Amino acid sequence: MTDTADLCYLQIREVGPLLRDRKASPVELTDAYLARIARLDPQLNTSIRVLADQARAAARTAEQEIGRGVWRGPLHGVPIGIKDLFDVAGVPTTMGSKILRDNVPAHDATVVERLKSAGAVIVSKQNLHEFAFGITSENPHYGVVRNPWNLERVPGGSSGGTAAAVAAGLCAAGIGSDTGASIRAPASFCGAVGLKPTYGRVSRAGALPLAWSLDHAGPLARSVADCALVLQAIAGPDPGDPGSSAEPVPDFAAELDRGVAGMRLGVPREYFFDIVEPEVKRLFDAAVATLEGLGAEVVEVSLPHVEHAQVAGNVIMSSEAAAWHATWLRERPADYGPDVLQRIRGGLLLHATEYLHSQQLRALIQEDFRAAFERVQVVLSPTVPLVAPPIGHTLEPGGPLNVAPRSIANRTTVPCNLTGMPAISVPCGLSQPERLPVGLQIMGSAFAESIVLRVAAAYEAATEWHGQRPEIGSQRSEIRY
Amino acid sequence: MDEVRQIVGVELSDAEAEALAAWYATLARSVAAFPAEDLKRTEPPLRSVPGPLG
Repeated sequence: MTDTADLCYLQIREVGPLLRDRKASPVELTDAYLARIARLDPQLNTSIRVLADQARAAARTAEQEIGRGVWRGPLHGVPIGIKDLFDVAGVPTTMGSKILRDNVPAHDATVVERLKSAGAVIVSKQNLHEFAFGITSENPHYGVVRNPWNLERVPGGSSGGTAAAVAAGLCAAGIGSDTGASIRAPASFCGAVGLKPTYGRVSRAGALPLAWSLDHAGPLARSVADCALVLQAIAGPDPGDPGSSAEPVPDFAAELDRGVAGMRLGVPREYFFDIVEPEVKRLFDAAVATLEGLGAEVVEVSLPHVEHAQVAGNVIMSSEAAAWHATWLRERPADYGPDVLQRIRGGLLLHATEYLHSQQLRALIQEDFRAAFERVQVVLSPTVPLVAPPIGHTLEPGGPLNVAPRSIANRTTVPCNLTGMPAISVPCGLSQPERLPVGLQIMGSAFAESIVLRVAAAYEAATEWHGQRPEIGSQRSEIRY
Repeated sequence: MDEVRQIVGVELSDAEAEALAAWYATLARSVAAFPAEDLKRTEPPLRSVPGPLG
């Protein structure tokens, strides 16, 4: 194992057994990631803080434990990145904001605590869209995160630093949060796998909120199996999170190899394809054909209320965010970036009736999906209707659809935040001619992560997309705007 | 614009107040387009309940 890029691009399912069998060293692996971060992050800006000393100490501990025959599991000694809205004790949690620049928590978030218990090495606190309220990760306080596939494109957001770091081989996997798109959209834009689990499956204790009723925590990784391994470590009940579920946690890897032959998969009739770039639609259609070729039956399903999902999601998000930010909106407005300030302030103007109508709409969309899941096991769509847009051009109309990217980026992901259903984004190709990643979204019924992962794993095994690596820094953007 | 300024509670430029009013008006119009009859028969989930169960 002489090439550090190869070492850093190993999947957890590959490197875990090497660490267990002492054929690879946690210290050497961590050093390889830290060296790669030092070399590439000045361009990509995925990290707000690199935890080099803590990571090396954790790696040494892992090496000693494994040397004594104490193996904690597949994450033992594996470097993981954390979106900088989850607490790591003693390290600032900024949420990508100026306001929280010096916010130092005393305790780990539950997901961090569980990762550490599993032996993972926390390597960095990762950059994000300010206060997790946006899909570009053009952060005014900590700098713009750049997409490893094209440095002039956004990585998506709000977990943009995490997705870019995973795709660039700067960590083996990462933890993100998703309130409307924030795990799946950056996974799609960066060519990573991103899973938003069921609401309540993963604790949000120790994570700063954007909108309580829509916030989810979940993994980003370079394969479906790795997502399953990380989910296994962080899932389960937690009294520290009022939204946590007592639902039993299954073995998420158990069904990964069962394939899709005989399964029935749904494609929505309404909404999801009203606004979609032709290249995204082409790659989505090819992905559906691949799944059919693997023996799945694909049928059309109707989700009549989902056309209102984006409005309902935005009303709920801005209202809940405005409630959490109320004091700072009055006392520190100058400390917000302009785009985030506008959307959070807007929540102050929304009426209670509009919030309640949006909550009612949420129940109607759940009914739609409930009816669909009587006929199919998962529902498929493009993760995002477009490829990663150019940095600095996300508020103005442009691209093949001549729409502002920010206005449509969460329209196909936010339905699952409203319903709480699990959904994964898995790479399904590169657009032409830009060679930018596109994601396939697989949505399942509540607590059916195993089914979602199974379909994603079958698709991944039949294609080569997840193995593609960006040639970082070697390309120039052809801006179409 | 005065109403917007009153609700927000801090000094706003005309451009900021107009942008906020336009943002709200767009969203409010879209909420008004929700299917009224369907809303009538639906109780809002005032705490988040994951679903549907598979």
